[in-house]
Amino acid sequence: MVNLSINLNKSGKQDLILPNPVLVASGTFSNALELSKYKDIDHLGGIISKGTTINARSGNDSPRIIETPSGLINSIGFQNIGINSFIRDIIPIWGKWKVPAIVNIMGNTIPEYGILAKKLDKFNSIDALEINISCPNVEAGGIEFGQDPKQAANVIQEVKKHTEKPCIVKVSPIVSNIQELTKALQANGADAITVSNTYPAMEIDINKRKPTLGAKFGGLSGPAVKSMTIRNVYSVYQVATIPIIASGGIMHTEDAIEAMMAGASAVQIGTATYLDPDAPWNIIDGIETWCKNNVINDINDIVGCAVE
Amino acid sequence: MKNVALKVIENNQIYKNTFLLKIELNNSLTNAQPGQFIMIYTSLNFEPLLGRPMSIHRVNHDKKYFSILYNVVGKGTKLLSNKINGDIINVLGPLGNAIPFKKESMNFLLIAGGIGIAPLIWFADKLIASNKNVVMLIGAQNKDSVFPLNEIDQQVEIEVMTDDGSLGSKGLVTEKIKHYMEWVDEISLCGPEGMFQSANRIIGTSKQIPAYALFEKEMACGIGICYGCAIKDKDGKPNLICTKGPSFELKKIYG
Ligand SMILES: Cc1cc2nc3c(=O)[nH]c(=O)nc-3n(C[C@H](O)[C@H](O)[C@H](O)COP(=O)(O)OP(=O)(O)OC[C@H]3O[C@@H](n4cnc5c(N)ncnc54)[C@H](O)[C@@H]3O)c2cc1C
Ligand SMILES: Cc1cc2nc3c(=O)[nH]c(=O)nc-3n(C[C@H](O)[C@H](O)[C@H](O)COP(=O)(O)O)c2cc1C
Ligand code: FES
Repeated sequence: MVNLSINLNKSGKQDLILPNPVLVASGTFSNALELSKYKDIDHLGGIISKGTTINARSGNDSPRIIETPSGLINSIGFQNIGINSFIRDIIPIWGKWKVPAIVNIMGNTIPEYGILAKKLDKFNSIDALEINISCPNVEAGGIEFGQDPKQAANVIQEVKKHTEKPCIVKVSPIVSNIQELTKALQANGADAITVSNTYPAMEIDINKRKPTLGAKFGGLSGPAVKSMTIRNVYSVYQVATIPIIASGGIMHTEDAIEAMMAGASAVQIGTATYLDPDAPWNIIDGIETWCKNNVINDINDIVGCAVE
Repeated sequence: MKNVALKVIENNQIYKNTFLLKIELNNSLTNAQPGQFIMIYTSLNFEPLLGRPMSIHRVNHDKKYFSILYNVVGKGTKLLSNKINGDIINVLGPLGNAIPFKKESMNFLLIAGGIGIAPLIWFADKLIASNKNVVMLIGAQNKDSVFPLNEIDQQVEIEVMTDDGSLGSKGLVTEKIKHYMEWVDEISLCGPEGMFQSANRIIGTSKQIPAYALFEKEMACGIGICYGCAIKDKDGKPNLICTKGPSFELKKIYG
């Protein structure tokens, strides 16, 4: 038997133990209801909700999706049902599942993050929050919270004031110094860090002489970004005292193993699920088989093993 | 809901830029209905990355295949056009919902613009099989881009319109709608959005006849998990085409 279980919250009050290191990425699994009709959700390492805001959002105009060489640019525009509907319609269903359940939250202002955290704190069936800080800070003129380690620290402090739940901070890959950001986050209470969100990107339709996406700009994901994910995870691991979750271009078992060797304790599967709804489950099985073939008894043994 | 590898039976260019691809039928696709679609994966090495949504054109239960009718417009459909008998192709489906209609309706007007004819042929088959009266308005660029009329059920009454008048009458297919307004109980449309908008202007002004159109948007997943395919209705509310559609009533979208 290979031990696949990992603990994403070694320092905090509540453990965050996943049965295996494979999570489904926010915004690439809706709120898990669609695939729960066909698949065993409880077999996953964990589920993460669609990015949830205080008010429901209808999202951007189309096109919202364009393909790039081995990648995908999306500008969904945070279409989501809003926190109150999430609590009313989704949490009761999630409560029947055993799978570790994480809500991804996003605010326009620092107090909004606190409100979201407070509303979710009382639900036992929610195991952790994932805080998306790669979004514009309305009060600071639209610069992303995650671009400034001080602002990012303020967000995590505010969230921590309102919840005892483990807090995972999901960062942008495009920051001036990801190691400084990591230090600021862990010093201010972050329990784990997701590396990372999508890469700012756009394309121009040369026939129309206009940006292709309805919202002009979007975020790049998929196989095209994997090697950048590996690089960022490696850098973060060099300074991190908290667990790292890799996100970006994890398409196959080998990508997951590679990200773990760079320092990730867990991985998120996103774009891969669009190509094959079985992808997260296949990767879980693949990791187990890989461990057996490589005489690894505990998956934790490979975390960071390639970092010098 | 499983991405399955199925065998290509036939893949032929049947007119201008349009191919008919026949694929072996599996259990889940046996139950498909007109209006539903599949995601078809034209490459397994990420180039292109995503599946391509394609309407199910027909299901042949006796010969155990289903078909899709597609235009070659870009990378994915170009790769698809190279598939030959015996090749294996990955498919997810059936996805989305059947074209809705009321059992008690008798007279159906189907309006096809360009490749929008793909799902309507099979819908016509089914309506004829349940003893409905079907008129089909077919709009195309010119005579070379018209679906072979002898492949359509003979009981369907057909009117063709081409942009240049090289077959049927010259003009836009929506111009014919008004002739059928007294007769028709329900309308189904598939084609470019401009056609839907002009149809809605014509249909909306007379009596309220249900008119369902099959909408298209860029899709990453086809199963409701990416939110890429949302179409906003007249109230600005997003509707996912892949799970709530692809058919929506025109007045829900345009008012
Ligand atoms: C539910 C649904 C059912 C469809 N059914 C059919 C069908 O039965 N037969 C058929 O030929 N096509 C159908 N389409 C359109 C088809 O999916 C696209 O033509 C195809 O994805 C193009 O792929 P490509 O790689 O060849 O083109 P790309 O290289 O991706 O793009 C080439 C050109 O095609 C356009 N295009 C790309 N995706 C779409 C799209 N989803 N809709 C419209 N234009 C697009 C692009 O804007 C570009 O101009 C359907 C689309 C949807 C959403
Ligand atoms: C369509 C789409 C929607 C997404 N929505 C969100 C979101 O709401 N919140 C969030 O934190 N990340 C969101 N992401 C980012 C993913 O969670 C993930 O970090 C990213 O796609 C990189 O991983 P991948 O290459 O495996 O897809 C979204 C990604 C895509 C493609
Ligand atoms: S195509 Fe992904 S939600 Fe519809």
